[in-house]
Amino acid sequence: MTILNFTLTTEAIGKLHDALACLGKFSEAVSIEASHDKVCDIKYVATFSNFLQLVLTALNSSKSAYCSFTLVGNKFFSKYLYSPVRPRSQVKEKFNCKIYNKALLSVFKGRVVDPTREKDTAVEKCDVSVEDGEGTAKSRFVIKMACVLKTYRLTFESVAPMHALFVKESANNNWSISSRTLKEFAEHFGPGTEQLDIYSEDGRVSFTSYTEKIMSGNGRQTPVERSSHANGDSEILKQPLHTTIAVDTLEFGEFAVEEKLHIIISVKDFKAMVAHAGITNTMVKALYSRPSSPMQLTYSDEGVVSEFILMTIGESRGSSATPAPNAARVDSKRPAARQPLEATSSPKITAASMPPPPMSAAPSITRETTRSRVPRPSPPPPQPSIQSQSLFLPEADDDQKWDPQNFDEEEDEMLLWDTGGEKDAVTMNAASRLQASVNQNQNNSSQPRLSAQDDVGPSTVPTQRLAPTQRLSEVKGIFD
Amino acid sequence: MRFKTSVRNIQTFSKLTASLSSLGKVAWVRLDDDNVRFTIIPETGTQVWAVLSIDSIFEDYTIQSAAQNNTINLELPLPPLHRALKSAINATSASIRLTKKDGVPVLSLTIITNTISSGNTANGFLNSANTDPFGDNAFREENLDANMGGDRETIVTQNIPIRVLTADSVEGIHEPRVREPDAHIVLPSLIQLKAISDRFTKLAMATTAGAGRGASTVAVPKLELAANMHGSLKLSISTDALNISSVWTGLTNPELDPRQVEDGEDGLEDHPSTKLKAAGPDAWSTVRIDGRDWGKVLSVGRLGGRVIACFADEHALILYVYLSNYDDGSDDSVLTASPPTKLYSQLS
Repeated sequence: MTILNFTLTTEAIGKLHDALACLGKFSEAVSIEASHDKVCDIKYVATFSNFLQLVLTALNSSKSAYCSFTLVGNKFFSKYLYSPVRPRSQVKEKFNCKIYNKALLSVFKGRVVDPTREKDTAVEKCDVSVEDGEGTAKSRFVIKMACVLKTYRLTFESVAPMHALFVKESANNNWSISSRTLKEFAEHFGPGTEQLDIYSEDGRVSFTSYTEKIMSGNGRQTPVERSSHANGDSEILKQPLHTTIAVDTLEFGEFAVEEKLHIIISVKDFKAMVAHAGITNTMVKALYSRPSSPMQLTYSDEGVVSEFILMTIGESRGSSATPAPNAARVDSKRPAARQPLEATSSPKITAASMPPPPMSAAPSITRETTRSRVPRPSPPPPQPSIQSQSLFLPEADDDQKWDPQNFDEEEDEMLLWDTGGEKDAVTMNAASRLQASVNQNQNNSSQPRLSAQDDVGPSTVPTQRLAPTQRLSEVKGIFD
Repeated sequence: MRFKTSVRNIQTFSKLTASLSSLGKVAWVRLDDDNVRFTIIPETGTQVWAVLSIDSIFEDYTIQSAAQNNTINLELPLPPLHRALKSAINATSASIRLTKKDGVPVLSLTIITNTISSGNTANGFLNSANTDPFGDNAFREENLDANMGGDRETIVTQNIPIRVLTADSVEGIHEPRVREPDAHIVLPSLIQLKAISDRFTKLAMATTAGAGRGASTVAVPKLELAANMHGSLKLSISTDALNISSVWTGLTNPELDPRQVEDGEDGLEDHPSTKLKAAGPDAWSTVRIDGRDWGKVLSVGRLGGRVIACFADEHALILYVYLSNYDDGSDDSVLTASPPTKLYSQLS
């Protein structure tokens, strides 16, 4: 039976793709959780029964970084229907599943509206339904793309997601800054660095990207390190750039941080967050307490609330004024050790331990009364910032034409059939006539494959392609 | 040992490092009282010997060392240098100094950028339209200061790890000696030349190495470059399956300066290029070069300089690159006076 059914507009497809791409930087699998909002727990259940959300989360393998996107049911989706399996049962109030992210990504990849391309190729809408059944019944995540109808059926695993814990109350440090500014910062960081140290003193804030090896220098080398250093001095040249960005606290929207506190997170996680936050112009809010405790970064955009919980690295330079309660931690000489985030997957605790929801019940009342009953509300306004960016190409890109050609790259450009183009060709022909046959063709081809597969892999995405009409060998024959 | 300078022309310096880093990952940099030299000697491919006058990229230049002429020799990784300079593209000022960071010598690039108004005011408009009641910051409070857009300074410090080389270790490195060239010609638009060269190479690869896949392991046919002393340049490639060529005509064969030639006027009369010229427009001097290597060489085109190619038949190709844009107000006489960047493509 269908548990969950939702419809995405073109804009929403793009946003979902962005979110999935970001989640993919943390984990191979994405956990999807459909639920009534926690207001269901209080007595206004009747009033808010339509207030639904879909939460996408990923926790990295070392459990040091957690990423979550909350898609607000009635804002993000043009249609959203959630019918829990057993509505009366409290335990089954949530629907959880875990999907191989690459499978989902490849479905939405290329669906993002490209203004330079013909409108024909754009997907008009996308229906997603989740079917789940008891016992032997098939559990499938079904995505239907409308234009030329394409249906994808993905397998999923029914697992409760792991949510990282973040105690907002103990976070005494906070700042907020424009995502665009953070994006500019991240652009200064060269590749290969591992840590990002955030530090403030006298109205200046510094973001330093570095690698522990450089920081330790000659001081704390083990004999092994020293000998390897002796025979290969040129190793030094392979060290990544050490970058410090010092800015005025006025660059920040809010800034209330303890002076001279070093807080260190992973550059990779930071870049992953910034890459997503920087797509739109929004305010990123950071909350943290002290080293070895998690840092929370949040921001919101039309119907999407993004939250990152990143573990901070234990004090390495010993200059923090914060007295750490755990003495052993202060003495620790292994600064790079990051404790995993506290996380839990037990369904019962999940409700309680969910990261503090960045929304409150109060405003939702007004939201509810004004909520449109139109099944397809007008899409969110286009973001002018993105458009203006595409109008002015950054100068650096222009310079790329001078870069040497990479001849080793696989190129479909020449003498080969571009299989990707076939899809478009279908679209431009009699779409309506082909629709039925394509759909049927797809069902025939994908069905046997799926039934044979337990594990979720990239091959479970039956991408719809027509076979080339000319054999590759024939093409080569012209020149042979 | 002290070295400190302001970067006078960030664009040029950045383009230079971009061009150099496509030819090699590590450069030997020689700084002294008179000029700055970048030398790249890769195991295979093209050698670069670039000499820049100090004021073409630097100003307020201070150098001090125990060596003669205050020479400092450095080994410098090019990709990080280029990356670091990228941060400086929109900078108000940038300066470089030689220092030590935790015992490791570094070139420290300090970039100062003044922002008039920061991004955090820019989103006020967007967010006012955002009626998301669930956002933490539905009613955002903004600092008054943020709207006043005072002069705020962002300082980016990029530390590039380097090695300081002793004078002995670089003593034995000499510029290659190549016999007098048979032909010298001013190259046409480098971007055009690059596009056509890359196209030729791709075509050749597609027709030799199966379907053009896994070509890195297969020997790629070489591009054939030829010039005469009557203003023509020919670019061609041939495989079993195809034979293509492009010819440029009406190019310039610059006159040689008798003072630069051995034996002056007499030497010029006996010069190989004089002989080639006398042999007429059908006499070509030809070199063969790996298309991928050639593509990397042509990336110097981003500097926008004038490039003269010198052909030593079946032996070597030397490109002389004259920086044109180091000073916006400069005229041609200055250009030719500036020392060229020389690229030696040794041919096997």
